[in-house]
Amino acid sequence: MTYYKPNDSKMFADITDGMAIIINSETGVYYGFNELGTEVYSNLINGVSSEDIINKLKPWNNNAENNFKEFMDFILKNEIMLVSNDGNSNAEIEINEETAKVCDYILKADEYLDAQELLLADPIHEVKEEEGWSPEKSSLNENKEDVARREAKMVQ
Amino acid sequence: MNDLISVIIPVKNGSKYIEQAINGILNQKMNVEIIVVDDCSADNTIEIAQNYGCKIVKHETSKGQVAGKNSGLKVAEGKYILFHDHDDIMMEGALQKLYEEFEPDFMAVEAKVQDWYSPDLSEEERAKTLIKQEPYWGLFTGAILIKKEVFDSVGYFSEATQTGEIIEWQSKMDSNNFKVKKIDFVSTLRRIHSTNFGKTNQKTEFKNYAAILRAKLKKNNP
Repeated sequence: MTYYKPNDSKMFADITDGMAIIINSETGVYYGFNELGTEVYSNLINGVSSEDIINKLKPWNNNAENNFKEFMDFILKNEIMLVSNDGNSNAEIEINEETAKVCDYILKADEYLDAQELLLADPIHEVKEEEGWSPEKSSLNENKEDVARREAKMVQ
Repeated sequence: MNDLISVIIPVKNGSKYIEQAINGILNQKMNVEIIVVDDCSADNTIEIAQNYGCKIVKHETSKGQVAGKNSGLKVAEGKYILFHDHDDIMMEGALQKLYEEFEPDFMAVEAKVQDWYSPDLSEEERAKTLIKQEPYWGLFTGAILIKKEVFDSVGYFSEATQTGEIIEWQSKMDSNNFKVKKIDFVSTLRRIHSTNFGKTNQKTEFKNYAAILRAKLKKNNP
């Protein structure tokens, strides 16, 4: 079985509203997946094997194996994930067929270079968060449930 | 005399450095109004700003630096806008250079900033705080002079996040085909001290960035 893990040393990943955004903190390049790609990425993070994912996709797409290989080639080439020795044998694969259908059952990943200067411009991150200038939470127009929901999806 | 430039300084508890920031702007010898947006300081920031004749905007509750920029924009009377951090120092002649570099096709002119260890930063803190050794583009504050009419088109900043507003702004500039002219000189020294606003948790900051980038991608590919 083949497993992958996030490359936490240089990549920041955030999954919200069905769309993964991964930022390379060293280069300022960022990556986006379509909804199906995001679900596959989430499953890989949860320790699902690539074989199980391919088996899930195959009934929907005759070219699923090649498409998955291209997707993973992109992810590995850009060091978004690394090959892992360990998976999670108890992890249940979760890919919604409706999501896959919306994406025509195709995994897509793209690279974006349009914010490099901006993403790299503010890199002072040496002290505790509470020392920064934070507004009163009540002024941010967001409720606790929204914050909790987003944080739960945040890749640690 | 140049067209009026509104320099907007959002600040919270900035009494330690704001005087140097204001002096740096006044030393530009340009036609400016300095707008200090106070985000519920507990120190004498407002008093210092008032002594220099700055226009003062007070937040009733602390809303953060992005909301501070918006509050400043709402009262700005200048034809041009420049955002400035309360702890940074503008280089001599920088504002005039930014102003003079405007050409008809451009809606903003951008210079570089240079990180600079504040003299009061201890050797120990300097050692653990890595800064860029070379000047760089990509920071809003002290570095970009913007025609105020830009904000009539692109609107104010989203206050949903506390960082990354320049990414959202740049995206809106692109959408409107507004061009930014880049000039390779240092306009402002960015003071690195023990309580920089930018010294935040990296994951929180990147999460803010990710939200802005996601919105941008979804807008471009609905």
